[in-house]
Amino acid sequence: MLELRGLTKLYGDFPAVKDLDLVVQDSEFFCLLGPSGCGKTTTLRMIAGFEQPDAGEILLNGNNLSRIPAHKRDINTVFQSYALFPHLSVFENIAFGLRISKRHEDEISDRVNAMLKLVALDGFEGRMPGRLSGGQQQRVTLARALVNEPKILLLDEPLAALDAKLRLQMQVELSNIQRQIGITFIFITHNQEEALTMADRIAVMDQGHICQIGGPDDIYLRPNSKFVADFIGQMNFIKTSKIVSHTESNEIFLAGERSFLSTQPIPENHRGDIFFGIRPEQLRMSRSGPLTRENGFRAHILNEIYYGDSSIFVVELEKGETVSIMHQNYMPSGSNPESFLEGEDIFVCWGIQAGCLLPE
Amino acid sequence: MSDLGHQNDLAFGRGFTVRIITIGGLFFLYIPIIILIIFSFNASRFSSQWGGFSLKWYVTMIQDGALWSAIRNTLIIAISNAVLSTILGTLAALALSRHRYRFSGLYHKVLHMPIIIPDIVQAVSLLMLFVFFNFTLGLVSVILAHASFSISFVALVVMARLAGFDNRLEEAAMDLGANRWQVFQKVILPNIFPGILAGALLAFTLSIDDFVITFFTTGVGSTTLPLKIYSMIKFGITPEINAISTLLVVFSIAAVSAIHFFEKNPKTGGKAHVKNIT
Repeated sequence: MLELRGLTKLYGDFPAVKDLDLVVQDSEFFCLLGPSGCGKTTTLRMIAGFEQPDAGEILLNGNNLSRIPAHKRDINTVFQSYALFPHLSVFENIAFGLRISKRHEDEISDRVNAMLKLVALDGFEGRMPGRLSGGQQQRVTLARALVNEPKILLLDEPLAALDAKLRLQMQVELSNIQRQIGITFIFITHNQEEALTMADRIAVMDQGHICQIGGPDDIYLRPNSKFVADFIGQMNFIKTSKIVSHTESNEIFLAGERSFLSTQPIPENHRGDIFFGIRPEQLRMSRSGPLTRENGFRAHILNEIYYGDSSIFVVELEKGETVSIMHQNYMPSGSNPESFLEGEDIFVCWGIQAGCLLPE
Repeated sequence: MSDLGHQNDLAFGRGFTVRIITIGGLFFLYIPIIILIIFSFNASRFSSQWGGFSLKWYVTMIQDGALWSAIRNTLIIAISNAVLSTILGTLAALALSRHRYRFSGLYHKVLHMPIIIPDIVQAVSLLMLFVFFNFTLGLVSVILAHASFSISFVALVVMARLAGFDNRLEEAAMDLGANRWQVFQKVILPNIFPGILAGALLAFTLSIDDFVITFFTTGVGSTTLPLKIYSMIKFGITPEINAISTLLVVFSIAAVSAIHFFEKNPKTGGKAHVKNIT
């Protein structure tokens, strides 16, 4: 178990990480997600031992790591830049950690070969890193770290330099490898899709602190702030002016005397405005108006962005906001879905349980 | 990239005039050496006239004890200088390019000084220094004098190599359990080794070549090859000097070929910086 307590790092006067508390369980695939400059890399570098925290502690299974230098920590890193040793072959790169810890030659060769198999690079052991593709270098970096059987593997945006297709493939492979060997992975990324597909739990970071921690579905479906909702996936935000509580639901008022019902909880002790957030796939268009337990606003279709399997319709609500709506172009049953045209006047409908109320 | 440059009609170096200039330049560079080599086989005692083919000056040279002692001194000095200035120059390069201190800009400039200062100034100042400290002039004083300028050259060559070194490799090695010494030995050193080797060869060559500084700082019994040749010329140029010079040329060509061989051999890590500096 890795525990961060009140971790703080200052660069001059600027707090890159401030008073960060976090617990990562054993064998967890944990993801630190945030925009660049949010402090996720600094946090990772403090766990690895490349940076000293200005305050707070890092505990690994109860032992304080603060006084232990990077090379004595039972933690290995997969670097974004790969950082493979250019003068050593693939085999020797992977064997590096084992040679440092003076393992027996037979053991080194067994473990390196097992790793080469794990990352699907058998046959490449004699190659120099300069003669490998980006994806292959990435695998070598992974193998070089994993061969030491660390308690924790840190991954610093490892897929950022790969092209989209390869990235998708590596996401699946990384998840499989993690499940297979059961080492704790702490993965940092600014790519929300990567976080959602791979992580058991995600911590969304901004400006040196954690905004929300939870499983991918918690983060996606129940974001706790406008920042998190905006960072993860697509979300429509509508500014509310007043909320009136009824017994079964709340009545949400918008500018222009419009209102709708929502069963979502009202955020407590917030400062500033409350926004109603709803994802494009939670909205539907209709010519006939809302069903029971649905809200419906009159609206005008501005344009359609065609993605093949689906389209995003940009729609202007009566007296106000522009929202995006996802519309499936094909139904699995084979029946044709209703089609809509640009410039048409329609209803935008959503269930009263959908969406969420978010503090700014 | 370069292929395209050669294929367009604007490519420079095809005209008749350019060819003449090129051939003239090469002629100017190499004709003295060719004449020198030809006259080393001259049977006549005087270099000014051809007296038929002979190898006798090579025999004379081989039997010349004073000459061999000069060669021995030169090699002792050159090798000692190469070792000393490579170690110190590499350490200086590591310190200057990997850390930032107060005055590090000043240190950089100080390191460049021996390259800029005229040889004669450095020679005189070194001589005065040795005399001031009552230091006996001999092999040791020459080695120290040579090291005083070779260190700068070595440091610059190694720094050029270090500039291309990715500091993240160091973090990667530490992350894998290497302590500071192991990081140096297993990661930094192998990556900058071509630079160090080039620096050592440069120091060796500068030392073999040096006349002015050696002349001022040498003592009795530590005559080097350039000094010996100079003193022989004072009694007239005999083909023996041509023979010595011919062997030096052959030795140099062999050395340069060796460097090229190491450069091309991927095991040494490619680009040595010898070419750019000398």
